[in-house]
Amino acid sequence: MKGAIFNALQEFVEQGHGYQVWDDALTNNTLASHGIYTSTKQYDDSELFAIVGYLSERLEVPVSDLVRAFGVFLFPRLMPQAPEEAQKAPSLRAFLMTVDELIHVEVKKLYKDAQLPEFNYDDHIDDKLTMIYRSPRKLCFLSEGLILGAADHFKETVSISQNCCMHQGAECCEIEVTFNG
Amino acid sequence: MDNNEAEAKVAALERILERERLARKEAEKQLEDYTRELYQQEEAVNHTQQEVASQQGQLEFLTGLLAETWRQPNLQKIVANYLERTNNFMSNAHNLFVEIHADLSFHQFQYYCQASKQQSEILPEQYKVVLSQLNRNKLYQYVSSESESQMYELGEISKAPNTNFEYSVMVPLYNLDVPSGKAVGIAILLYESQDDINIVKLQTLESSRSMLAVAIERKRAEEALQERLVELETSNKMLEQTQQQLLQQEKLASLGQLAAGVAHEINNPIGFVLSNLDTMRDYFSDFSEIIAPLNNAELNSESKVDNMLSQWQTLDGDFLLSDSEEILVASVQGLIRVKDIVSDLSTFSRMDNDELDSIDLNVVIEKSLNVVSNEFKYHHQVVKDLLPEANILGNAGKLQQVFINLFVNAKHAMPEGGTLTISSKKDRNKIVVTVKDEGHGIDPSHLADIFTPFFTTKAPGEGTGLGLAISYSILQQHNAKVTVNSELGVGTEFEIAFFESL
Repeated sequence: MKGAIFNALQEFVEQGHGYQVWDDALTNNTLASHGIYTSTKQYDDSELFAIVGYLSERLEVPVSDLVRAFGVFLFPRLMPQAPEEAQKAPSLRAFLMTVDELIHVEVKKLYKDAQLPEFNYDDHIDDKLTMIYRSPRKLCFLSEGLILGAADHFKETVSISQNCCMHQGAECCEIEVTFNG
Repeated sequence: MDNNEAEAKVAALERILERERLARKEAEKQLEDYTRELYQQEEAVNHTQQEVASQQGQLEFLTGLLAETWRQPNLQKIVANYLERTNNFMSNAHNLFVEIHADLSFHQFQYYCQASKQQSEILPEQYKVVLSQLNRNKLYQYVSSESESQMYELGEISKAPNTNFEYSVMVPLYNLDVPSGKAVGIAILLYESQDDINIVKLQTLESSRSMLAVAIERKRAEEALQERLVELETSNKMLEQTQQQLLQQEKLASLGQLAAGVAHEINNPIGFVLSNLDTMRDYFSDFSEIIAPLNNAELNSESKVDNMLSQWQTLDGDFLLSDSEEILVASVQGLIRVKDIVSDLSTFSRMDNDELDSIDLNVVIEKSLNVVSNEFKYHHQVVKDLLPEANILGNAGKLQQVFINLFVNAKHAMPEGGTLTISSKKDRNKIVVTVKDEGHGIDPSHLADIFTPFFTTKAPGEGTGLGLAISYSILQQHNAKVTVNSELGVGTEFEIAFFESL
């Protein structure tokens, strides 16, 4: 996981719950990095899960809600770095369709060690879009949060549900986005 | 806020600060690493770019040389092009070319020098000095035994030191057999200093040599082929001339065979015209006698008429008059016959061209029969069963030769007499002419040979053996198909199918 995500998480925690919570999360976990994160470096995924696990217990929020909220927080920080064509997308739906074949491709060019989830799309229904998520990290809730953050960006309202989820033992997560206008 | 809480906050802040500081150091170190990496990459890119440019130059040289070499018309031009290209490519070398023969004489100087970029026949002094000082024997030995380019300090290969140039590269270009023995072509690159030598470019130059050798070899083969072609064309022309002569000779030969008959044929009408004229002379004196009283001044008009009338009756004037007319008509006919024969003979003996015109086959057959009519006059019959019209594309003179040949052969096959039948019929778009005799026939073992030149069953001196061979080649020119049916003791039938002309 890129250091930039840890930096964003720090910001998210500090803004919502104060710097002490963040410091506690780092000091109460044994982390290989000692909690020192530089945005461009790669850190072990387990550090993120350890921090999130601690925060979930400490703040008494389910991991899924916490990660989803972080996704919403993260989106506006990632968006400025997206390729121009994705930024100019006319709608949320159009934007979401660019994630796998455009945004992730560009990310790969910048960071060839980045590990990105794979998305397949089912867009045969007009007001729905199913994004099929596959990643060994099983961060489908982060995706949900990012989609919600994107909806805010495009000033659209959506509802999200998962027909199946890797956390329930499925082979992939089917994130169904319903566009409410 | 109690003290403990404040201390905890300070401690947390200090830890956070420490982490931030370390993270910044980490980031700065990364930045330095990136910068260094970037610099190295730029260096690598520059190097690669130079490499690419140099390789492109080499490639351009090779492909350009290849393309232009094949376009050159001869060996000398190939060498000139090679020198020009090499001169542009090897920017620091002076480029000379010289051919050395087995007797160590120099030939075919060519040079390019960097300064003028000009090619000239006149060798500048500085090159003259180099060439005159070269150890030709060593050079010749090297080039005729080695096939790779060789670099020398000029002193190594010269008989005297040279002040202008320090190094030379000898590039063997070709090795040819010439009338005086052997000739080797060498490109000589001269360098003023060792620093001017670019080994990579020399390697490229070396790799162009094999291609050049192939091109030179190919060009020589092409030239040889061209010579061979010219020879073939010449001998082909000679063959054509010979064939033409043979054709004419065969004609003359058959004319010779026919001469007696033709002479007779001409003699006959001339004989009776002569005798007719003799009779006419008698009639003329009779007529003179009849009209003689007209000029008698002693008689008056009346007695003149009475005298003439009595003379008319005495000499049978009526008969004289009608017989004179018959004689004149017959004489004119006789002379027309002579004229026809002579003109038919002349179309036959004329040297023909190969052009085909629309002609009437019946006319050709008639004319041919005219020439040979004497042959069939006494013991033979000629039966004709011809189409009213038979137009084909053909050459009348040549076809006349064919028919005369067939008719004469038929006559020879029937020495005791018999019937010659000439018939024609239409078969779709073809006109089929059949010439049939009742002669002794052709032995089946000879049938395959009858169109072979110089094949003859006639006694020496009687036939050339060319008649049917030539007829066959004439008919081939007409796209006509010949079929022969023959039965020993029964007769022979030639069937010739011509395409009808539209």
